[in-house]
Amino acid sequence: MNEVKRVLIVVLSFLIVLLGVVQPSASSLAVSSATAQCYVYDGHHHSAAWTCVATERGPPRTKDQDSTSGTVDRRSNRPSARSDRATPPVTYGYDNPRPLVQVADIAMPTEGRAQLRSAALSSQAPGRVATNTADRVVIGKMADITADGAIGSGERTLLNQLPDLGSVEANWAQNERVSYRR
Amino acid sequence: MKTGNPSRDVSIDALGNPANNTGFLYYERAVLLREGWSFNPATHLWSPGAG
Repeated sequence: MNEVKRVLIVVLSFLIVLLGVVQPSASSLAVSSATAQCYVYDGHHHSAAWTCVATERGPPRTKDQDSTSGTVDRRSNRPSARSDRATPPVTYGYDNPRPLVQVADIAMPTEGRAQLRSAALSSQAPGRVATNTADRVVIGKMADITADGAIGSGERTLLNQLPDLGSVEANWAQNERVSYRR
Repeated sequence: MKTGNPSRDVSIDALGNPANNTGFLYYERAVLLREGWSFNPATHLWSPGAG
């Protein structure tokens, strides 16, 4: 009978501990109590107003010659790594002043003059261009156009505007476009 | 063509008429005629209008 009572007491105490009836130890409470802090609001606190006062404008008047930290002044402040290039560069004086000479007009081939004239005429309305203008386009087969003496004075071809585009279709479209625009 | 300036045709026969009427040259002459241009066998010029 005593053993049964002892077993009951052990089981009952185990259940009590298991259900948390027993208070936890003081060491486990120490963690949570340490985080509790209280703050009291006593007003606004602003940092001092930031001001920027410049004593001079533009780049600094003096150079920081004593700087040894930056890579910026490394080349200018430190001795040259090339000791063999210590010789200063040679300078040459200008001792032969020549007067400006007026040159004659540069000779220009006929086709170049025609192109310049064409550029000047392009600013005018097409209807106001004289029909007997010197800017005359020559058409025909390639062999006839490129033959000696085929292009007269004041005439031009459109060959310089017709590069080979690599295909018959592309060349045809280009011919059509340039031919109509001339 | 757009400028209206006469163009000289260098591919002509002994009578001064357009020759080698093939390829793009044929097309170009056809467009000139369609646009009302005319060819002058004496001057070998294509000009807008009846010439």
